[in-house]
Amino acid sequence: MEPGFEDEYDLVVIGTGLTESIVATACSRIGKKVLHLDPNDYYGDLWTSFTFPQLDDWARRHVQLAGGKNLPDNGSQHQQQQQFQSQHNHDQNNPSEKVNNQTSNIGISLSKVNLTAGEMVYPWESGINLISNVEPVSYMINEAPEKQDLDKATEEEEEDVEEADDETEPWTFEKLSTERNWGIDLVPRLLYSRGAMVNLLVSSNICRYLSFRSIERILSCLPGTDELMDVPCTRQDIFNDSYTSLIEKRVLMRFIQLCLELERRPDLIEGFEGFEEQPFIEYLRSKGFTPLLQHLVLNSIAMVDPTTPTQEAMEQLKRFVSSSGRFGNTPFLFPFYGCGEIPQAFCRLCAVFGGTYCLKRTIDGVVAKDDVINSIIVGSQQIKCQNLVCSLSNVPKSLLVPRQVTNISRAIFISSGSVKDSQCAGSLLRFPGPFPILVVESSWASLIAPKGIFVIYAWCDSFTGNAKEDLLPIARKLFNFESGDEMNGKPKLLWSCFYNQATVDCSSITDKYQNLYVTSPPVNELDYDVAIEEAKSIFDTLLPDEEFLPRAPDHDEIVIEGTQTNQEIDLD
Amino acid sequence: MEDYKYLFKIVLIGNAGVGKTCLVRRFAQGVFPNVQGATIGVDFMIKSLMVNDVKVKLQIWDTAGQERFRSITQSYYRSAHCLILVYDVFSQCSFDSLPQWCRDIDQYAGAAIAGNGRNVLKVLVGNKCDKDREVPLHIAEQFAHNNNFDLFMETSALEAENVEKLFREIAEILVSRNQESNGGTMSRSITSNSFNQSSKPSNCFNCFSN
Repeated sequence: MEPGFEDEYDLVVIGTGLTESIVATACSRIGKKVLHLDPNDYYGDLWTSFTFPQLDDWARRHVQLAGGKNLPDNGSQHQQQQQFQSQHNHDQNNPSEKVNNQTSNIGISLSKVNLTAGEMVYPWESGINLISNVEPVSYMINEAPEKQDLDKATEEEEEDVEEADDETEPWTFEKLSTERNWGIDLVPRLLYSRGAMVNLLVSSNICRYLSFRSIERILSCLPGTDELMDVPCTRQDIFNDSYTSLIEKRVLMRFIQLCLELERRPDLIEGFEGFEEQPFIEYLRSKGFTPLLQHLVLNSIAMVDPTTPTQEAMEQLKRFVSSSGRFGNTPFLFPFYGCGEIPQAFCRLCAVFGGTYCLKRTIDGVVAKDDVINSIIVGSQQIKCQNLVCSLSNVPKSLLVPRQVTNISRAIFISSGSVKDSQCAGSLLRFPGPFPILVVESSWASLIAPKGIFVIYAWCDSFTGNAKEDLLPIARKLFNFESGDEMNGKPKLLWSCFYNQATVDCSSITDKYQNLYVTSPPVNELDYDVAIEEAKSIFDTLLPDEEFLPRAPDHDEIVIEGTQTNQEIDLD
Repeated sequence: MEDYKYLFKIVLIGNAGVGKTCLVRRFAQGVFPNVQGATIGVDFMIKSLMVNDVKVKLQIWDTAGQERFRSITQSYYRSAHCLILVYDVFSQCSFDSLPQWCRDIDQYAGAAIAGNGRNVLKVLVGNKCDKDREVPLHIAEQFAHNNNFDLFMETSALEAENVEKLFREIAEILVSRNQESNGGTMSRSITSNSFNQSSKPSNCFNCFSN
């Protein structure tokens, strides 16, 4: 028989996504008793890193849930989902089995539940689906036999390209599936090396569970072309750059110098006077920035729009410059094994401080009196808890107040080459526009894919409502879709998946229970600032007088008491 | 400041209550903890050894209780050089869970050593051999052999039996593997020979020596 949970916890958390995991860890760290559950059989919820077979399963399951064909191809498009879908929790391994379990468990537990006066039992239905328009496509030979002839025809042309690679055997779907070294993110991020997440990981000492690789380069797509250039980030780079003229180099150098000063002296506005509220582009024009420099500063360094007020752009510049040169050429880090390691690192610390973890488990019901949840029901167990924290997808739809949903378009591309000639790149690339698109390239060098494989992520706020429509034009700029045009130097695409992910600000999204807190799904951001802010704000509400994630001691700082060397001790 | 030549990460897994924490504490601190739940706040322990005049640091990781509901984070297995799967010789149930743990090892530990082209060292340990046994030695030996464990031992954290020896042998194998791979050869048979040179007490054997 499986061991049971304890009868009482200070905090119960459902979902092991990042925000919930930070809250759970912060509470456990200062001595609260935490029970942390997740209906999935993996950590991280949407913040997870998948193996290739897991990702393929996940994609196919969503295609099926949406009523699509078993083996999707280009044809299956679905209406944009601006409202919550009330489907079963999509990330279940076996949704139908789970539902059966729930009903029968509720049946058992209802007869056993201990109710005091005024208490009522409410079943906890499975939550809402945040994922839509999922379209996985394989471009590999064994998946599309009809393309084989085409490939053969171009084989001779390919030869010199192929020989340069270590990998001579072509990648097939099966070969990708049997590889185990994967960490493909559903919600990829980069960390500013002096950003909020790095600072939190260092100050809490959770960084000991993680290791990072610095992103080697920032790329920029030259306006009007498909050509990618390396953005010069350091003095040396600027000096060596072949795209910029001597005058441009000088302007850029002086500008970086100014940004560095800004970092050291935050009150300094010299040179920016009068432009604070003006669009940043006006400032750049007035200082003699050429169109190329404007493009680089806007999209690759400040990562803002031309119309962004100069004051705001300066904040972004400071962020960039202050993180530069800490660990590498660029200001950015990417975790080894994928971003899914980050929520797990928090969960690990939570467990080290006594948090109880159980995957493939969620609550079946709550016992509440008026607007206060007194206990939860898990299987046949009734567990008292003071507070309940749930990720949005684990909260019954009936408890939510209507909210405007933001749709993020996302894409994952698996390729046998880098978007710009490199053996093991980590890159960041931003395509400007009314809905700017971020592209992050990661590779086997970050231990997220088998040797020779690159994983490229793209995302933006959706403007058409469909990820494929939003992101396909960018994909065409970056990759070879057809076998015929090998000569253009673009890498060959092996597999891709487009999907939309809904997000919504979940602060006060439910008013049913005063001790229920709902965490928001991932938003469209590069680092983790929003998630950390939200987790901290929930923690501060729960425990206003406690410190948020104080530094965890190292192993050699812990003095262990209660040891003895004698016998006759029963371990159990 | 750090004067060691090798640092190896060793990860313990196995059912709750089989004595994983006690093994670590016995080895790293020479004590036997008498308070349950002493794992709180403790992540991993470090102990240095001399192996053939080379200083080796062993970083030994404990499960932090996540094994209780079989919910160990995948990241726990990352970059481990050695996995020690522990069962309780007094508990048939803990032995019966081993196949499930082996599946986890195959699923997660394969990725753990990405890059260096070598399989993680797999060690099976039957703990609490000071008690009456439910799991016969030869059954466990057979299991270790059939599931490609590199080493099998019975230990008693309580009586400090074979604990030091267990970690010493692991350190020796890891060092010799590293020296081999530095020399350009990575043969398992050479590794197993180094096993045979060590003296074998009655309840300790190595899977490759037979």
